[in-house]
Amino acid sequence: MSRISKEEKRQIRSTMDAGQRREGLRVTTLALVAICAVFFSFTVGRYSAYPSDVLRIIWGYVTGVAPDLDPNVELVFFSVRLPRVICAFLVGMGLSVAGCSYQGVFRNPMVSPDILGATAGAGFGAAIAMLLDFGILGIELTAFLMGLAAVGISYLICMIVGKRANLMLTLILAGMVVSALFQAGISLIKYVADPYTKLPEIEFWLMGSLASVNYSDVVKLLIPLLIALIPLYLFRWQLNLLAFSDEEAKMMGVNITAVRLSIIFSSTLISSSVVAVSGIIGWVGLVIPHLTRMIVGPNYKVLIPSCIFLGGAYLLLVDDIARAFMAAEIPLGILTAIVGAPFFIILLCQKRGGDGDAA
Amino acid sequence: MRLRIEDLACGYPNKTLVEHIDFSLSEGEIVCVLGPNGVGKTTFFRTVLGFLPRKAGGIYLDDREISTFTTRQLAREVAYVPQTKSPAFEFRVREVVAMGCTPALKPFAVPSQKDYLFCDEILDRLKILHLRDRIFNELSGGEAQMVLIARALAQQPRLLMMDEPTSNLDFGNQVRMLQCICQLAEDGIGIIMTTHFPDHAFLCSTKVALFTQEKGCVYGDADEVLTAQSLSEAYHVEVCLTRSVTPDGKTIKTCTPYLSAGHADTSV
Repeated sequence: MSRISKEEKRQIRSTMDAGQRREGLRVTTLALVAICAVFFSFTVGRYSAYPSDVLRIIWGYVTGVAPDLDPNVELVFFSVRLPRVICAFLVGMGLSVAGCSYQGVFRNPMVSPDILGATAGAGFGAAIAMLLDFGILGIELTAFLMGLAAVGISYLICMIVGKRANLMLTLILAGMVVSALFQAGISLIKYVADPYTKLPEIEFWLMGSLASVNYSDVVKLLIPLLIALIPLYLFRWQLNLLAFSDEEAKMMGVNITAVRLSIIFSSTLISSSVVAVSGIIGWVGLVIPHLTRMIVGPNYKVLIPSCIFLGGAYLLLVDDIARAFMAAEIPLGILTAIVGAPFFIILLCQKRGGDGDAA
Repeated sequence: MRLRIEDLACGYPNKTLVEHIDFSLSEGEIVCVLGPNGVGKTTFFRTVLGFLPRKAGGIYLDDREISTFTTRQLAREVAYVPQTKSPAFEFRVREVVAMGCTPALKPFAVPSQKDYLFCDEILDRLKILHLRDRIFNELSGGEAQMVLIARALAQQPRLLMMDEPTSNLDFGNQVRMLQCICQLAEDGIGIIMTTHFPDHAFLCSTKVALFTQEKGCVYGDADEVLTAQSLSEAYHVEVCLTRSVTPDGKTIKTCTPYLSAGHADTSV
């Protein structure tokens, strides 16, 4: 048996370093894209600001010296744009991270928070809470519980019906059924809601919008996101092993139940807190993980941070279109579907044609 | 290392498939599990690995009941080489092999440079270093099977459980796979493998566990267990055993079936 010589070893190490550098470079590029998107988003809107104004405001904030600007600009920046930009970024990254972890846990690249029923469930929960005036925390909690219930039911149906026969397809079908059920629930709530006060509130919120977000929404998003990112970070390597069968993963020392449950819990926590704040915003959790995997490969160690950057940047730009494209705001959920659906079809076609280089 | 299986019975809650399985395996030994479809080979495998609850009996690794091992501990002793199936995502070969390092990693850690280098050494030992940067899903059946063996070796196991390692391989790759398996046994790893070909047991001159519908599990040396009669009974076809002599003077038995439903010549 030949051992690797020192020279070869050095060579292997250098090619490996090159591989890792390439990986690092791609993640850094995505981070830069995200920063540019954030910066750009500050300048866009009904009250347009120059990039220089944005820089001066930030500089003023850092140094503590009031910038020499129209005070309105500053007001818009801090009380309207800043919370909105943060929220858009958090919503985008949350949906993408939740999507990519669901895909890993269910070993299925076609799964996303919408498809598994998490968003519909959370939407139903939030709608009930709004109807019954549960308050901020109540909305978030019911959204989470209903989201978890929806994913749980999908998974349960899949386990009962599936019996190892095409689990992928069964899971998607089960998710669709559960989604439909909770959608019906949402319709029922809309039907009984007061058409002059509650109904419009629920309806507009359902379409998905960040038009009225403020700093308390930032907190409402940030806390569950940070909590959910902990298990995702801890299991970033184990998640990779779930791409193979349960048996294989287990024989490589992965505690499948613990990993699976904590990842489902985190992803559902993310999806439902996003729904509670911004309504139902579809497609992001499906398209962004796909795109990211094409750029950095399927290793969750780099996939999760890349999804954070790309997902955040994507939703920021879509939100920019939502607030600047027409005189009236376009609901975000409508836009992500219009952008996401064709984009996803392109991804599918490319995958078939070019055999999807996931370099 | 010593794996001891005592009076094991396996099957599903309402049905027992095989009972009274008794054998043991030391390092460097190969046990071929043979038997017709549906007799419970896979069930036996899944039971030993702990995926299915056993109906009766004991499985001991170095005299310690295997069910008392944690998932992590077991993964350091026993590695499983499944039949190749594409994973959901397109991992590179080096990432797939590095997955084998998982049981040795600290909790919540990712493989380090050193781990990747160790994986490269394994790939080199199996003469597949050139596959390192390929995408696993795009490999041929033989290449993928070798990568899965590399992944199993990255666990540094003392026992290898291989589920039909030669299925889906062409003739040449089957032979190369058997060579590789014999080499691994020589390196001191104990191997349990299932196969559909009695010849493979003869070629590697292994121990055999022959599962039959009628007699349950028969265990022993390949030469003793695999006779024309026992094979005919197990598979319900007519076979005869022939001997051929290799250029270097070794005698190898082969099992030859014949299609005409005449009398079987059971003499060897």
